[in-house]
Amino acid sequence: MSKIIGIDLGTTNSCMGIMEGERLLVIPNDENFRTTPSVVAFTKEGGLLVGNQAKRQQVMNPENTVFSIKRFMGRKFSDKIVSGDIKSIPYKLVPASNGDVWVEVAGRTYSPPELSAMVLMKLKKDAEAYLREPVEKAVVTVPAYFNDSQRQATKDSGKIAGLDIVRIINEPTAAALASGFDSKVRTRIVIYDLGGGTFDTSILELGQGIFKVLSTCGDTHLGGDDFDQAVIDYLVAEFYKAEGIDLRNDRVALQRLKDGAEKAKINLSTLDSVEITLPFIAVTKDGPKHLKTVLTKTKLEEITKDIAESTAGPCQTALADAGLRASDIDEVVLVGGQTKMPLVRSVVKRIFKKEPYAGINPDEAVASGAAKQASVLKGDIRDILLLDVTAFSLGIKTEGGIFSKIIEKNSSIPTRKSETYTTTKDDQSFVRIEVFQGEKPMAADNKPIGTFDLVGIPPAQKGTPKIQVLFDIDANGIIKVSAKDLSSGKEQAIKITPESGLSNSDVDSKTKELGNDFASRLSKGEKLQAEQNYKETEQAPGGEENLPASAPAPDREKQGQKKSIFDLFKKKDN
Amino acid sequence: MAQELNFYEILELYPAATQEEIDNAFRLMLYKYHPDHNPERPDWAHEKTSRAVEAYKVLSHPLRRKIYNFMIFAVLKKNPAERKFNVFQGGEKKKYEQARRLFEEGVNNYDVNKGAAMGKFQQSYGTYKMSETMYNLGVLYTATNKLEEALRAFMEAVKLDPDAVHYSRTLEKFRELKIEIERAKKSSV
Repeated sequence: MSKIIGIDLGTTNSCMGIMEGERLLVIPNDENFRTTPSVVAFTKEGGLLVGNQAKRQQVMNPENTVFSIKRFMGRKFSDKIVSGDIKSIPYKLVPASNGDVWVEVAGRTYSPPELSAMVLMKLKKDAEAYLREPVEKAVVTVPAYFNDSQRQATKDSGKIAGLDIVRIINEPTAAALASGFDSKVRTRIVIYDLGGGTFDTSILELGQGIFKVLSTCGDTHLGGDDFDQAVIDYLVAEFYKAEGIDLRNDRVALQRLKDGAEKAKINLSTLDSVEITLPFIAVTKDGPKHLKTVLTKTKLEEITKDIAESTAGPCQTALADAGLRASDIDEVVLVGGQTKMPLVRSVVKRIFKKEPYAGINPDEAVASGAAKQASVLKGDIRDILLLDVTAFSLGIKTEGGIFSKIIEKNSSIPTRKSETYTTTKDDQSFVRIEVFQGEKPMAADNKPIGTFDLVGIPPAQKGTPKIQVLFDIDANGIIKVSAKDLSSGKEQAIKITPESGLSNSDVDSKTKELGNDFASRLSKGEKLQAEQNYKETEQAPGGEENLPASAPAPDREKQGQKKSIFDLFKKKDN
Repeated sequence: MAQELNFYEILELYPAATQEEIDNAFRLMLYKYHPDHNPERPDWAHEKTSRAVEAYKVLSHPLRRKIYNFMIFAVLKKNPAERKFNVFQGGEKKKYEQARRLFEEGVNNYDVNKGAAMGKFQQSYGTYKMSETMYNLGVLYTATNKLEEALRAFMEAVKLDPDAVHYSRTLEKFRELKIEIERAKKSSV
């Protein structure tokens, strides 16, 4: 049986893992980094860049560099969340014909699953190079709070990338698998997962090898990016006060601000203050303007306090849903890069009245857990079992627009449940089944998942036909709904058509398309990039501030030595 | 439709099983049936696991289990007993037949639409008073979490037919259940 790898397909960074015998191994990328930025870039020459290389040229090519695509997976263009993001991202979002949000870049449009597929293909390629064998199957993680269309979109990404996603598991659950707690002893743990773009919290009970999720709660649009944005807003406001220039209209400036803000934030986890220096951030008729300011840890905490505090609500909900109090929790595990921030740690400590557990790498835990699950699926591990839950209630719209719940949120999955309904008019020949997901009493206030008609009901008095609606949620959290007319004795089951996403034929054509030119475009992009890097080091343009934090250390050193003139703007980087 | 297994049968347990026995039975079921351990027959695994999960959800929760046990005991009456009427009771007989029809409609609606079923039983009882109707109303009120109404209905059924042992035992069990539900509600506040 071929190998199955575990992939944490993150908003900002992705990570891969595999079980080699008893050992969990993180698979490094082709530049030998343990995580790969989830960034895709289209170069002017028609080449493609993914990962570190894409991130490195982001400042110079902001309109054609796509990052945080996970934020838009399975979403409609009209989503409030999407319209909020349009202003703050440098690449262009457009509505697709079915209302989904797509990206327009380098002269054509791409669906989020396609862009995500490019990240997956790069990961697949690097894993194959490292493991020296083809990789065709993967366990991929998603936020627990991902809904059905977001999960479907993730599965589509895999298909387009030529990767069979054998299982989707929830990120906090994966982290729990990797946490290393003895699953034989009854332990209640909380996973607090604050990543680049999403926040998830799950409460699990471990015992006799079973990882049973008791409850989960979160926010698919809250993460490290929001902390960065708060810093950017602060810097923009300060600059406006000092110079009267609004930097928000300049995409290149915004990208440099984003880089600077993220780096400053990271450094402030260990330092008390950092200097942010962005030379030539704006040009006026009086000459170039530079942004040079000091950000203290206290200031950072002041401007991001509300964001950190907003994670408390979902944590309380998760506790209440699990029927537990903070004192019932044995361990609190922190996952996701943003949990390295001391402010976040203190918020967690206050919520759960417990010092967080330190024995886990927040950047790699999710991928490691996915790798462990892959091993369970392969049959190599037999004494561990995951029992996850669905994060939303599921039901259908009934008379008067009332939402009739069939599966309650936090129900263990896989699950199958049926409910019987009847007609409201004499001789009614069909019923429309509208499926919704959410917690509100009126269907219209919840999220529509899909609609279908059950036709051919034999004429009967109203209230007599028995129509059984069957809901299935599989272990991936993916929903299937069917209906059956019991009174006619005839079975008529229909699969649901999703409200959004790509059709099967779309996925097939995109698979072919991307499969054909991904490798050649990637190598074209990488070759050009290498040439350019070579030229840049020779001629020493730009500056250190153009390099992302994740740039390889040797590069940074090299450039630093050569460009002593830029010491003028040197930041307190280390 | 085939007779459904009850939750105890699904987990291969006997009704007096302890909490520990329930936990262990569920774990064994998961190891045996979970789709992760049965990649070659996913549909079968999904079906089996879903049933075990559903059964465990109820049986692992002491209060839910009590309510479930009560509902197994208090099954809906499918037909009212035959009543005999003499020649002078033609009007009564007509009412009884009407009530009986409504009763059957109530039974038919029970699975589909609890609200409609309740309406039918109430109409039936308004037409002709039968202890079976009152008892069914009690079951229906319990199923829809209307505990005060359920208590009154079971008391009424006992009053109408004091010799029916099943009614008085149901009432007794229901009283115990109600006390426990109220106690649980109080402690969770």
